[in-house]
Amino acid sequence: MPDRTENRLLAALSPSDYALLLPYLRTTFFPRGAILQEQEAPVANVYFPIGGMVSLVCVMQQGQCVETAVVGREGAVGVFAGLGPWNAFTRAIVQIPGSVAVVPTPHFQAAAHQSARLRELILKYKESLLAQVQQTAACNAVHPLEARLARWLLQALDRTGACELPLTQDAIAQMLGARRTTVTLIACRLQEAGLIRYRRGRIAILDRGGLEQAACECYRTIRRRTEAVIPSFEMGRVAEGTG
Amino acid sequence: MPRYYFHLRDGSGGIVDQDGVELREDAEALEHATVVARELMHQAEARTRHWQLDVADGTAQVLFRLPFVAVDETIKHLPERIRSQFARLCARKRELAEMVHQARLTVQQSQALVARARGKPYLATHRFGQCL
Repeated sequence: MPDRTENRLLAALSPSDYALLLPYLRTTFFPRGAILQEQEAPVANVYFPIGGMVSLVCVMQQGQCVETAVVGREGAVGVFAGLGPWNAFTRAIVQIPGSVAVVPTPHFQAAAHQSARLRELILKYKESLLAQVQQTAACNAVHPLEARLARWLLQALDRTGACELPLTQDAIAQMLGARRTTVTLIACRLQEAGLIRYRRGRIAILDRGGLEQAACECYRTIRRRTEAVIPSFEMGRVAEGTG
Repeated sequence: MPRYYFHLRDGSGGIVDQDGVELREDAEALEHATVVARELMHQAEARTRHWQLDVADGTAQVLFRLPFVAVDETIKHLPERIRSQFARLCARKRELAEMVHQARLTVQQSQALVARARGKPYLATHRFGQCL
């Protein structure tokens, strides 16, 4: 059985609500690149990440993908399906491998049908996800890539709870919608500034405070909004002042 | 396919591209450099306009240089005369910034040398503050 405190959304459930889901919860490990849900396809399962991070990407007709939100142990993928038989609005792809607690959608729907508090939690979480998507959309349009990369690394850090991220520059480039060369040059600049260290597909964060200063305002905004909506949402420490 | 390297000159020490990208020909490398320059510059034009990409081949020979100002969309509307003035100004700004950076490095290195000579290597600093 998964340790439910590892996922903030599961942790926020009342004991009786959790008991409704418990018989159907299975923990599975997902590798990088695993697709949890496909855009416009029915949502078969609801996923509660315990470790790792999932990207929600919008897929265009010509195949381009743009990340619109990230989900980790503070949230869940496909949770809106609890309120009705909707198809997924985005593709959910595992960016950082990790364990995920999985509930088949019909069981999740049945539980949501029985519990008003669970329905309320779903709506609250969707509200925080909407806040993240809105901020990310604005950020993608008006902020320089260097600040966006710093924001993205901090978000990944908060969601995985690790200080080292197993990420390739190819994956980052795809998520930020930039060329790999561009991401390499920016990552090297952050490394030169002593904020991160990049080595063989792993990014270590050396100076969290400095990275927060390099990030755009969106990191703190998204964090504040998520914390406001989901009170049990406690992620990594926000460093004060300079690092 | 030949491998091209895109070294960034950002007015300080610069970044050496160690990975490179395989591309068919020089024209494609120029196109790639243009996209990379625009991505790096996007929404930070005023701060990065004096940067430059040096495109090199596998033998470290620089094939061509792409000043960011040459592909800056935000000054495209300006008359050609003004843009070329802009370009000259940006080139000078970059050269000056690189010289200042080099001078600072030299000062640091001499400070480190003096500190070591006095038997106090811990006084040597790197990047203006962090201890070596």
